[in-house]
Amino acid sequence: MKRIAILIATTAGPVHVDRILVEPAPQSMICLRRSSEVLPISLDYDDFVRPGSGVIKRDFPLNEDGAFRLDVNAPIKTGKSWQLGVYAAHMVHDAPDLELSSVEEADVVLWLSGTVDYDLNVGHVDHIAEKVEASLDLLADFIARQKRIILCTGLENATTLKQHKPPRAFEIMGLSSAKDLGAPLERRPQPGLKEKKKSGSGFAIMAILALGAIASVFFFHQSGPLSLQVTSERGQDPTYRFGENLSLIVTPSQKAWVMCFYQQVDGKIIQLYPNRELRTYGPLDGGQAHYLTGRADSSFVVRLGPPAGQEHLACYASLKQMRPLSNMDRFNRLEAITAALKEQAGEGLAMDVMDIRLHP
Amino acid sequence: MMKFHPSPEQLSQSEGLFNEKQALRRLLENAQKSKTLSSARLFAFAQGAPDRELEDRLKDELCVRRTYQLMLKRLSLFYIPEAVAASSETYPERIHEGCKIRLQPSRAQDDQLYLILEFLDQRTEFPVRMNVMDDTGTQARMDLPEARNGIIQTIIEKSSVMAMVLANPKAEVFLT
Repeated sequence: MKRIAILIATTAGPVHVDRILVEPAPQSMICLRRSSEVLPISLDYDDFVRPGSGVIKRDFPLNEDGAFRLDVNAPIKTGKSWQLGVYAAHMVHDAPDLELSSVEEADVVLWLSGTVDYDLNVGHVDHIAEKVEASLDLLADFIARQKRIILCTGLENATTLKQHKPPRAFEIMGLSSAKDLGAPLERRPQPGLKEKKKSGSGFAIMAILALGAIASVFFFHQSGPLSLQVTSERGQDPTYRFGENLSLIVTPSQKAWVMCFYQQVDGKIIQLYPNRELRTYGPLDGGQAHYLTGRADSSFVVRLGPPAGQEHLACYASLKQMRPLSNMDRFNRLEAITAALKEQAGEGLAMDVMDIRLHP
Repeated sequence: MMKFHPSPEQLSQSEGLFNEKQALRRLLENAQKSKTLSSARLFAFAQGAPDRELEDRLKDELCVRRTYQLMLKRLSLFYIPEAVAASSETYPERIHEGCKIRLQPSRAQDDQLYLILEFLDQRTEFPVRMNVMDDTGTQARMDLPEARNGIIQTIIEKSSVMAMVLANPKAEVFLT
């Protein structure tokens, strides 16, 4: 029997799936530490389980009447990113040669984050960097214990994780479908990892490696050169007609404060972001595309108008918050804006520009 | 120092006298308290506000109990007078006017019970609170989770007052 520890990644730290049982009740529930405390996501879990709306009873049918009770060791408050971990837990529960286990006794540790739709497509989730960061201590401990650790996410999140070169001890698996979870559950352990003889000195060496891994994972989240990409739904050199709304998408490589400036054909420069229309202004998450304007859910709209010609948009990102530039009339070139912001942010300032053609 | 050695009969008699005196004092105190009881206080208690004194008075004073029951009945979306008379189960099932309430022991944890409320009509408004009271005035209150597919389900401890009251077929249930 292969023992699998399932960890659902959350921004408050990984949540371990303790057990799954069938209970004589109509609704499936998630309970905290085997107690009578029912988690608020239980109704969503029941939807995820129930045939018709959900996938669990469809893919792992019960031979009796009843519902599932899933016990976890810490709260999961909101969102749907628990779905991939819960699907994996049911897959293990249903398989005759696998069993859910504690982290200490596990042959394989799966760390998961992703949504799962009715066709089992695994979706992208937000805050993946924060989730890794919140798991650092535990993940380092697993490395020290020579556990096989697989980070499972959707394809887009997996690409982000791989780009940041995490420690070798982690395997990163991008999943397009939840069915792909079969692979990490059945593959043999990496040679030389499980078979290593556990001794006092061996543990010490692994502990040192784990500390290195912590530093490495920390590097993964916190450092590396900050970069910024600016584009629109029409690409990086978009053309607009009068009366159309501007689309602006920014993607910082790390969590960063972003400011954007727009230079009109007449040379006037306007601070586009942040602006008074925003309800809140804070750092934008790294590795994600943020639609600042141009989408139904954007906080503000920029409607383009005459005169026709070429206009320019520059966005800047910094790890520390930049002060608003006073007296914007003194700036007649974007280069002057860059210089003013560099004074604040130093060499850590990242920028990208987009040229916009305007037609009547 | 003077020592008094009462006989067992005298001891028993004294104990009886003290108990009677204590009961009388309590009755007198309750009579005074009754004058100050407001409907706002009863309403707040029904909504979950803690009130230890009122809890005691519900047990001791029939008129307070009746007033409280009357108010709960008026507030309730569902009022379930008592379980089926001949029920011999530990936790009797209650069915009344399209609402079924049952307690199902957990297989996973033998100290826990599933509290299941099923609504058999196609309603859109569901209760958010459950008050229960048995024929001795022992009562319990709890907030209910959101309904889904006509069912409200949660878990209670087997040792809780709620479970104890619901085990009594004569207990009344008020769903507000």
